[in-house]
Amino acid sequence: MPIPKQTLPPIDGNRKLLRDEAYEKILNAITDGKLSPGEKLHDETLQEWLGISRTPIRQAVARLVDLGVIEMSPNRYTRVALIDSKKFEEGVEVALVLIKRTVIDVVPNLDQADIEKYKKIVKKVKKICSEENADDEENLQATRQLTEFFNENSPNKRLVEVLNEIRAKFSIPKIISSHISNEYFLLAADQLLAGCENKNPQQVYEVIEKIYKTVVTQFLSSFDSHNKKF
Amino acid sequence: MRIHDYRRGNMPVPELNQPLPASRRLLRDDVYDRILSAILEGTLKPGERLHDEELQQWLGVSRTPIRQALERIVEIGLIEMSPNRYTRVSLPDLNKLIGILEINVALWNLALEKTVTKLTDGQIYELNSYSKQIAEICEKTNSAEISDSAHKLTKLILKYTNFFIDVANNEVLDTTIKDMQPQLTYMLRATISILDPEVIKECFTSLNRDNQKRDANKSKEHLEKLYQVIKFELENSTAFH
Repeated sequence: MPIPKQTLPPIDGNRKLLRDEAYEKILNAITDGKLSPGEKLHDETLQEWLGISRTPIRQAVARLVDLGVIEMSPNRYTRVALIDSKKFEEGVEVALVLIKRTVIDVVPNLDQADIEKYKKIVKKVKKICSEENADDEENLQATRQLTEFFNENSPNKRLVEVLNEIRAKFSIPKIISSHISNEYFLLAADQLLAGCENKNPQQVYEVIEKIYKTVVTQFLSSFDSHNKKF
Repeated sequence: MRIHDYRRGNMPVPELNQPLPASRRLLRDDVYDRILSAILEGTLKPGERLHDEELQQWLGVSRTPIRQALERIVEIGLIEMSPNRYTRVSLPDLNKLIGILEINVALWNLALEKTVTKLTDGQIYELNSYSKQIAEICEKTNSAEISDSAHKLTKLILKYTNFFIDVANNEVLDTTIKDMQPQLTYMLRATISILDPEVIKECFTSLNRDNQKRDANKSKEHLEKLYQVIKFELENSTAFH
């Protein structure tokens, strides 16, 4: 049998599976709020958006259904799960203990280079938050980076995964960005930076905890006027 | 139940005496349970290669439900799959175990905070009995023999800690813990022989004492200590490096 001369790169045995890529992309879109609770998901639209075939998409969706991020009723709908107010409160509670752990793992070990990096993030957030007509999307991305920094530096990747799944499930980043004022973010950004510079995890955690708790109160009161589901 | 007329064409359809259950168990769910317990009980050992044909023969079902079940076990991390290379039972990875343990400790802490001060006498009685059983196993085994009782000891430890999750009444907490349970059980069982039974006994006895006093802060402190001890022993062990 003639074997072609090897001109192609060797096959990467560790390549990412399509279904894993689809999973991450859809999960991210839900976390960011690009796909909001209740939004219907159609096979064709997903295929077009992700540029891959039906099978890996279905596998990814099945995993997200198991996770509770997507709801499915056979022959009726596949949609981003609606958020239940009691579960939202529970989810925030769980997210907070995981964030606390991450901050404890990360903050005391930050070196000068990390802190410089965080300074840049804070500067960017402050610039965007003080703009008169900042773009919502830009705003969300910037404020997300304030806490994303700790996740990126965490030695416990699994913990970050679990935390991100919970944040996605309850659209936490999106809800934070729409319930917390820019003035508040300006203040919080400085406090977070101070906590990092002091290498004081408790100080950092308290700032994040306050944001989350404020959001819970505000979100739940807006809930009552919207009935039980959001 | 009568079948609608339009369906009563050429094909005779039997009338159902009992409606089908609303959510029926799928073949792949049974396959999943079988393979999972084979891994957890140690019949399929860490590193064991899994071959489609052998699995088909063992379980007596076709390839599709097996594939679907394997994929789900890959998701929870007990099977590793490298496309076109191998499918095997995961090797216990100490760093992964420490990572999962850390998540669980954070979640158990939350559960302790919410429940310890409100434990009923009946609940304390139940916890006491688990704690006693843990102590008994630890006393009976010296380090050399601990692997024989590893499965039992792991189960009891998780029974004790998960007790608080059940009482805490937070659905998100519950599902988050349950999702990681198979992987934690598997890895803890595989590595528990590294730990000194005397230390496990001592940690659980003190943890249980605080819970009896309904002292949530002390109890959280002891859980943290237990985690630090396990982490230290795992990190310094040479068994899996």
